[in-house]
Amino acid sequence: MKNFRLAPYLLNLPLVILSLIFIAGIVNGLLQSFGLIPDLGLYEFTFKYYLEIFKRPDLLGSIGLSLYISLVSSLLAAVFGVLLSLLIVMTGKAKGLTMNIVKIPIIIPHIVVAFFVIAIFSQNGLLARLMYSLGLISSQTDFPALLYTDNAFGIILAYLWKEIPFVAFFVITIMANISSTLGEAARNLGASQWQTFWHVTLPLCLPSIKNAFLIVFAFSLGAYELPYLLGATMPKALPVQAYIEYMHPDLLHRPYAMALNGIMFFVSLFIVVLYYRLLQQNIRKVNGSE
Amino acid sequence: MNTRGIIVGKILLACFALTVLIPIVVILVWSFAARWPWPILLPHSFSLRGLQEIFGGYSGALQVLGSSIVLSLIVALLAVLIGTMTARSLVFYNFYGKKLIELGTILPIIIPSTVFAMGVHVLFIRFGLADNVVGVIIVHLICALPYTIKIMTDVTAAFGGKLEEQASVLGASPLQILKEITLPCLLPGIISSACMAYIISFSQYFLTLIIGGGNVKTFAVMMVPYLQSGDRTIASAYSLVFICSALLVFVIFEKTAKRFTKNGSNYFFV
Amino acid sequence: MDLQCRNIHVSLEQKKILTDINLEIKSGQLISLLGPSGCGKSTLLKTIAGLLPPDQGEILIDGKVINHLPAHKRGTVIVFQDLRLFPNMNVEENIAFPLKMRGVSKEIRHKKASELLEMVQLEGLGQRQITQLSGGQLQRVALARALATSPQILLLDEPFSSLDENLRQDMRNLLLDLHKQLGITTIMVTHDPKEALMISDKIAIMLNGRIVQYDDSRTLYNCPANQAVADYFGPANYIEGEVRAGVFQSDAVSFRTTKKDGRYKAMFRPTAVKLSTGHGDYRIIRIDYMGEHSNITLQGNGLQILLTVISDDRLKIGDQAAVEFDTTKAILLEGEASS
Repeated sequence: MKNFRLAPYLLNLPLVILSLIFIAGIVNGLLQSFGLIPDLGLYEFTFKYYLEIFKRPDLLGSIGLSLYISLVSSLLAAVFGVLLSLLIVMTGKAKGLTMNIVKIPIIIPHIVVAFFVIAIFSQNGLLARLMYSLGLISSQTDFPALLYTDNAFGIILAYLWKEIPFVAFFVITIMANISSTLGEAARNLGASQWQTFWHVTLPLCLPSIKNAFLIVFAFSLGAYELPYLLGATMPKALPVQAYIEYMHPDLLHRPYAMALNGIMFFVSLFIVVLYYRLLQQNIRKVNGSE
Repeated sequence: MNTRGIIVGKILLACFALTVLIPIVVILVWSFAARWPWPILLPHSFSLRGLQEIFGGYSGALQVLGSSIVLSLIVALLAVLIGTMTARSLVFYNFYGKKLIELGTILPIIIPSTVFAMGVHVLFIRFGLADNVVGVIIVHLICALPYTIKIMTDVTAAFGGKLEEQASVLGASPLQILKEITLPCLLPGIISSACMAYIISFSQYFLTLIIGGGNVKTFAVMMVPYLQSGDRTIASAYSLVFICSALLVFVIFEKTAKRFTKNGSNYFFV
Repeated sequence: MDLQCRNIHVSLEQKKILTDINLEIKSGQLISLLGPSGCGKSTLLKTIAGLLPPDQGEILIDGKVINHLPAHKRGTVIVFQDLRLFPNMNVEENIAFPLKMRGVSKEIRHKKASELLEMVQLEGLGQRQITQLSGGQLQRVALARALATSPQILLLDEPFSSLDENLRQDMRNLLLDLHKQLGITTIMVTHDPKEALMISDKIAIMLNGRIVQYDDSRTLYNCPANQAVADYFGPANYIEGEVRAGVFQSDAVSFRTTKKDGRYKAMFRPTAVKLSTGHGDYRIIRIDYMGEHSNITLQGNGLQILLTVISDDRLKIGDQAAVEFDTTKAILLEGEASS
């Protein structure tokens, strides 16, 4: 460790400033959600906006929808991302063309992915036309309405297209490392490929996998673009609903918007705590092995 | 691993590759389709209508593309700079509040940016940061930093202080060390972070929409109405231009980096 | 250049690493810093080079205190154990690096680098990439680069530890040749006692952050300050006994000595004990064949004795034997409670 006392504080200054801006934004949103908006003449701390949300079935539906979308897409992304990672490591393609293909979804923004889904899966889309040309359907309406539905099929599909490669990318380095060293040792001791994966590789990759899961879960919970472009009319996902309330001409809708944001915040906060404790776990594991 | 397993594995990987590449090919074709009504599978006639709309100058898309690229380049530059500085402090120093700083680096990833945007908007209005480029750059930067900090921390930790120590005893002053040793060794991480930060900023929709108001128009914001319209050709053309311009920027990043190094390795495209 | 360390104390992250280090090295000497892993040897090198500040104490070169000088101005160069060759430069650029830092012109840098390459027997390899060299070649490049600084003090941190034995011997010879040629004051850190005995003018034994003994090879080997130092150079036999009126007495051996009365341990190296077969108090319980020589372990008189002989196939486990101690090679150590 170097000894110039002031250096780290100077180096951290820009981050500190930006973090303070971030925290200020969150705090302001929270205060507004509790009814503290001086500009609108609201000075009283209250839980009433939250309570009203929990009484309205349409808003409860929004919360449920967002949790459903995030949970389903993140779990599937984690499982398939790990499998993809395993596939790449096992076939020895951890470098080169395959990895470049895995990286492609990273550079494609969610709005374009939404368009992909529409272009292929809508009733006017490529899949429908393919089925028509194969004689399986005779008109557009025969093709099932897969998008803008209650089961959020289009949204989840779009998230999976981006998140499965993301998880794979996240996990693959550590998986390749473990596979070549400890995996080799395990097979040498008599474990089959599957046993090695299940008892050695997977458990050791688990912290990374959990990490990736938390990141995609938090992201899909609060992201606006996909539910906006691919969502059903009712219920709308939390971020979309929050924005609608936010832009409402009647400014007294503002605290409702902030309360919806507050709900997203508290769910995410729970995740931060989880992540932090995961970090401590990792540190203990690393130090324990020294 | 047994050969049958490897063949199955390679087939599955090929399927995966197809799911990634097919949509891109689809929009590539659709960009150049003159008309592509239901129910034809392949377009009968091609035209440059889509691209002409974008580059023709009437829509102003070209200027918006240009200014968006510049904006995201600024974000990338700042994100890499701040990321490197923060990474250096985290790897080489023990200081009060280190845990807090570490927490601060992951906060924007875990707490949704929509919550942040709607919360900070009013504050930005008060301080004159709303509806202008500076505010947009700040919020893009906040979103990109966690990624650049993580990448730069990994790269900095990998080299540690070892090479710098060695250069020091060989007579290099701190400034010389920075130029001759630190920067060249960090270069792969710098390129990686720059690409990451660039694409994060270039892809932003909601943040730019709310903080930029109607004033700051980025290519991503401009694209969305076209994506929602029924005109698939225009939508595909916009998507194609987006992807190609991003790839172009990445290639330029790498080429610039290659000028400063003698090793032949690729940084982003491994 | 003379080097002197005076009352040096160093801590890292609240842990005391070096305690009261006092060391004096005359100009042109090659000394070894010998000790087990973790005893602080590398820390001392880094302190001398200015990479770590001491809590207390001074470092002097030619009588002048240099504590205030930053690392890049001290003229004390380290060759690290992990070599630390710069991956973004080829061989010649690595070697010429110190000269480039001083603003030396390109032609002179090239000339000097070629000279150094010749000196370390790597002529013509200047344009190679670091990744294309073998372990031994990398070592020489690191050495040449250090010499390019025209150092006042050359510090080597376990420089040959990653090489196999033959290469190590070559490198030791190279180092000795260079030292003879250039006469640079050199400190070499090693954990290999044979290496230290072989090439050093003097050896400083470090244990737990202190210098326990600092002498030339022969004195260190024949007159160790205590059992820990003696053990460092290899196994030995310790026979507890008493000195009374100028005679050391024990169950196994007695001899005259000038030491004061008291309890002592007589130390005999395995080569100071001779074997004579036939009747005797001892029985062979173990034979370790090592090629030219074998180590024989004997049991008897309540002791286990280890001795080294030229290999003889006639010796078998279970044989009776008698032992003869070469009392001229006995070393008497203060009788501490048995360790």
